[in-house]
Amino acid sequence: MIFNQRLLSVYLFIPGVIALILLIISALLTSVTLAREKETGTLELLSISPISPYMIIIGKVIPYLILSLLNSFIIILLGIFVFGLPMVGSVALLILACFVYTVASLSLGILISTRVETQQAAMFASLVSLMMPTMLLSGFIFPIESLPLPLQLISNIIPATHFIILIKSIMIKGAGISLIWKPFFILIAMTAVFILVSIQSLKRNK
Amino acid sequence: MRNILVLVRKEFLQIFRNRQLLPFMTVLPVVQVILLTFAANYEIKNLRLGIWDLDQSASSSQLVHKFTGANFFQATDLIDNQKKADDLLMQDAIDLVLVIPKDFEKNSKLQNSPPAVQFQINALNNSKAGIVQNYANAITQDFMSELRGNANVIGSAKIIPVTNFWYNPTLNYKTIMLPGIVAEVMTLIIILICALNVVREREIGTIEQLNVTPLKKHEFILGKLIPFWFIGHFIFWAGIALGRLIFHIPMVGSLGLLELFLAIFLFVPLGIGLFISTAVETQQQALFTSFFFIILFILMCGLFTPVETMPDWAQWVNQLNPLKYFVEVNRLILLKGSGFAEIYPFILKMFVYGIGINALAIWRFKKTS
Repeated sequence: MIFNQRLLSVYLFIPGVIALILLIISALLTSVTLAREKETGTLELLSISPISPYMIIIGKVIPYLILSLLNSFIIILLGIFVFGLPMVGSVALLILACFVYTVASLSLGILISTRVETQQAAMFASLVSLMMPTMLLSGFIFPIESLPLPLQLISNIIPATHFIILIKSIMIKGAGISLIWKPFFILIAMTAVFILVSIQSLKRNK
Repeated sequence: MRNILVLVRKEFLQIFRNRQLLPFMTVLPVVQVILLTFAANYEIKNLRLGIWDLDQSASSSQLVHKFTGANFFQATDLIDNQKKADDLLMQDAIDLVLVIPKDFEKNSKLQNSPPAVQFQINALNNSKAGIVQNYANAITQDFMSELRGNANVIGSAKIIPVTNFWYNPTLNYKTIMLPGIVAEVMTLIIILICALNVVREREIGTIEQLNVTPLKKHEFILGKLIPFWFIGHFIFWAGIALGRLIFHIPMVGSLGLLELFLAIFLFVPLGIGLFISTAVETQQQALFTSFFFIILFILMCGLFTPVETMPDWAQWVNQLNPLKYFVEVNRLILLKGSGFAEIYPFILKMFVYGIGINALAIWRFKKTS
């Protein structure tokens, strides 16, 4: 048994829980706040101001980015010190991974918020449609290889799948950037798509 | 009574009028259950196998053949040193390295020597590694007993239970998982809509209007709970019916009994939602509070990790997890066919739990408004 001598389930469970909680919290935070501005009508005010849609989105993301990053460090530290997760690889790389993943989740939240009208719809969209698939299809509970092909494809477009690979490779295997540039690249590409699509819908709403 | 019916009608009107929310409450959960059940599978094929054959004998190539012929393993790489094995494991390019030592052929002919091959398994994913190990052991033992001849009855008798255990897992997982996932999704949605609904009325101020009507508190609360009680029923039975059609989940026990349990059970998530709604100010707070409970309930309900292996304090906390009981009752009724006598303690517990949490919610509700 390489990398996990005693077949401990925390090695699989903690990265999974980190990915799940970060995704839900970040996506929820942003989708709900933007939907709230819509509901209360303050988004109208913002959109007639000279601020561009890019600025609105960036301004919305930054506070939650800091919050979620803080969140992820607390969970990872708990994982290391309470549950004995190893930390073999580079800390800088781990921080970078958290950063990229959090930005991806936040922009997913923004995408959801541009598509819904009310806070409740935003909540249901983020919680109901993200939670169970992220849990079951990201390789957290069932191995990805054993999924049927269509579900494997879905699994690949779930950000958590790639984040779990990153966390496990960095923390447990100590992999360097040359081995894990691919998940990094996929997460960044996802973020770009989410942001582009949401800017498009914001512009259309105007 | 009439007041309650009017309120129920009002809630249903609101639910059906909300075109954006309605699919999230009804269709989406059922679709998800079906889709996700396909994921419920621990059987793995096409595991990537690295071969490091130091013996290069007839026996060793037979063993390799046996591995690659078993359609679980796919030979991807030939390895000749530990460095290469490490590299491949690091890149996640292989799941298992099969190391066949020198003198394998010579030693394996001896009756009493243990199988002298080594497996280096990538154990990042512990559940997968367990499966890999079991497959690999089964294949090797099988090979050994063939090599030593069938005369060695004791040797081969030991092997059979291992192989039987691993070759029939697919169907079982789905049938166990589906009712559990249905229960999880249903509970998630019920807690959430119940918590959000009341808070929303408070946020937009319509609760004030209801407060000045001659409506009694308990009428108001029942009027809120009953529509969601029906939605819970819809999600559960739609999920189970589709599960029956698509996955042929077994239904050994009485469905009437399951319905009786469900009818009482639903008041627990409803009460939890209601209680959350009395404790928070805004929809956002309600959401995050519900999320906290839901994720604990789902991960600890015993569907993915057995309850029995949790530490004592966690098991103690888990007594308050309604999903734990539901998952157990699902198994007892659908798979085992338990009768009323066995389900009775669960129904009683849910009854007490439901009354307790709802009473608490109503009490808080009176104080806050």
